[in-house]
Amino acid sequence: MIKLNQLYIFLVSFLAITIPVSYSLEDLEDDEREGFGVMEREREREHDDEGLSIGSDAGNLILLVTIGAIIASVGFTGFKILRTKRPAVSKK
Amino acid sequence: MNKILLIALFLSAVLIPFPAFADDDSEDITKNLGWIAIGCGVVANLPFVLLNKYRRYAVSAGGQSLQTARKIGIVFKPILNFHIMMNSIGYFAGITHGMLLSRHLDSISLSLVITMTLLMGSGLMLKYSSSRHVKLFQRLLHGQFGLVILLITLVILHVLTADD
Repeated sequence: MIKLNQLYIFLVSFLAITIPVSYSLEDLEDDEREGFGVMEREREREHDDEGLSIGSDAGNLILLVTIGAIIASVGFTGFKILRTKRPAVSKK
Repeated sequence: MNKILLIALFLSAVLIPFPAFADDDSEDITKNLGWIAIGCGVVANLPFVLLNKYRRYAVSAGGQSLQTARKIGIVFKPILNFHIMMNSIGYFAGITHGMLLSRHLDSISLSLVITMTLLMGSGLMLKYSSSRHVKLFQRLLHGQFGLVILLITLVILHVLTADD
């Protein structure tokens, strides 16, 4: 019984280690088969990055929306606190 | 004892890092890593948010639901600790990922860093601040619906544009 459990532990841990590694290595092998050069990939990536890069119109819009939303949230939170505190002050 | 050993071995085996990189040229790996991160975020936040909402509802409803909320209250601390632990790991993993891939920095990533840092900072201040006013402000800010929606949108956009 003990031997069976030990075998079971060994098998489960072996499968848990080997399955993810084999999957990831398979992906790497597929990638190598494509025969795509590192420089070509880099050039393609740099070309694709231009759309959302910092300084572009879309990029600036996203940044502005984020900063605006943060300022609005902080302002709204402060306003909420002030609104709840004012009646307590006026009662005094 | 054997069962505990089995679970411990299984978990440690699953959690052993294996080669998968966010800057890999295989689009599937990059996007799958993003969806795994989103899944971890859901696991870290959803139970905590649901528990908090139910507690608030129970306090306003009273009666039977209040008693159920008191029983659930026992698990509140562990779920809060789990929420803090998972989000801290996610934050520092995200920052490290950003530093390692800083040459691909775009506006979505930068927006994500700003939003994550704000929420992490407010969470830390909520946990460690002793001032009542600071705690109240941070509690309201940390749970702002707009900020949560902004963070979710940015994370999804970051995953969807990961191959670009």
